[in-house]
Amino acid sequence: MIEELLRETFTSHETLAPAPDEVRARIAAAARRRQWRRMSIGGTAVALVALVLLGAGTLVRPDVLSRPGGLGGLGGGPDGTRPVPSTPITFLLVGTDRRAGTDANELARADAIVLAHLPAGGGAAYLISIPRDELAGAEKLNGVYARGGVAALRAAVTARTRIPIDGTLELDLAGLASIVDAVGGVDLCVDGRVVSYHRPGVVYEPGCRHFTGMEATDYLRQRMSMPDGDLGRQRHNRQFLEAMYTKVAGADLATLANIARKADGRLRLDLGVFKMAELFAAVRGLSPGDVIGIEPPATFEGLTPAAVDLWTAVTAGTLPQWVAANPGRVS
Amino acid sequence: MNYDEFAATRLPALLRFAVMLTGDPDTAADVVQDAMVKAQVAWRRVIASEQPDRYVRRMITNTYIDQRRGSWLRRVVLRADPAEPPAVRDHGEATAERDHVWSLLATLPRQQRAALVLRYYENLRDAEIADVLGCSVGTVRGYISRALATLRLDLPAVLSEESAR
Repeated sequence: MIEELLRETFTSHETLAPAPDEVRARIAAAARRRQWRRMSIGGTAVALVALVLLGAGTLVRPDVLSRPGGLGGLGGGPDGTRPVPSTPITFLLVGTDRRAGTDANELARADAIVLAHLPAGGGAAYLISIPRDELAGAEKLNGVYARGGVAALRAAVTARTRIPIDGTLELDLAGLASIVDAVGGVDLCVDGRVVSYHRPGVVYEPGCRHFTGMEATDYLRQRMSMPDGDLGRQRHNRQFLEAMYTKVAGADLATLANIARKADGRLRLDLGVFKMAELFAAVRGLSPGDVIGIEPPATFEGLTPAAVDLWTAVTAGTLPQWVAANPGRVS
Repeated sequence: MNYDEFAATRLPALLRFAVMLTGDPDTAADVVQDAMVKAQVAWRRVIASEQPDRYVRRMITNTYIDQRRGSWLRRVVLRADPAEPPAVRDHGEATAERDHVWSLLATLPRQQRAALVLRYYENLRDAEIADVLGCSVGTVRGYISRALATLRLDLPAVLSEESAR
């Protein structure tokens, strides 16, 4: 009977079935990617926070927003009176080298790593560069990111600095260019002659000038032609974040949302326990002068032992004193 | 039942089902992955159906049937080294015949193959097959009879054996 033959044919080919464990792992990975895609494309809320984080360096102003109740009181009314933690908040910002025209899920290396820190006392946002060439074990931090993603990088940075990290933001070159163009470009002061390694013939001469998204993206990538290499690039990145904050400070919610949506799919955000509204409500509280860039004690080889004092100051809430004692490290 | 329990207990059977539909392990893994990711995201809806297994099988079947020629092309043309079926040690006559039927299944329209798998592998009743395929019982019977007719055409040995009995 052909029916019988069919049954036997099916049963005898059961051995072709793929190994469940392998497929389960693939499903889990695909589900995570999909989750990310949802979050990053997902709309206004997420994009808005991203911009807030980018622009302000981060965001909540605890002295304005903190209310009794601490972390337990998160998620109150819609009127900006919701309680937020009066604890320090730190986000890990990662600028990657993934370019336009590539798959948004493609692995990338971390060109820029910045801790955006808001002290418990409020009134300021600190942008602390972390050298991407810093060794974490046998591997550089940008390699840690390329291999293990933002979770691995986050763990490595925390292990090194002992600073608890509350959330992460990843933005690639394409997203960066889109956001800069969406705000109509950004004004930066070039502090030393920079020859583009990626755009042959292009030179950024010292002096203040206007940058389009493409120009800013190219400028921020450069390190080869600078005497201080990656340290110079880190400085440019901090200058850029400060300039972006100047640019968007005072913008209303709808405007910010429209701007941020331009980076759809090119940024990833992990808010931790925070809600978008909480982060947004505070950003208007900071003036551009409150955003302070910090270059940690480091040489070409990486962080020096003196960096420990900086990490301690962050966790102890004594950053203003550290800044006062190390004026040369503030940009 | 939550998603993890479902995946832990049902995944092997779903993969076997998928390999019967698609005929090769890689495509089977792809369609199951696709369906399971969707199921995970919409788990509440899957559970609300009260038959999560049937629900996911329907998703797998639809993914298989809807696979466009483009993806088939990609699979065939771009995969440099197509997965070979595992070597069969005892290549007796019965085994050879089953392998022949297996290769013939690949020539059937997808709805017809799906109907065969649901009836002769999953042992579903025609009404249940119609539910999975989203068509009428009459259509299911049409698929199956046409599929069997095609197979008989290419299996003269089986036919002669049948008539000899």
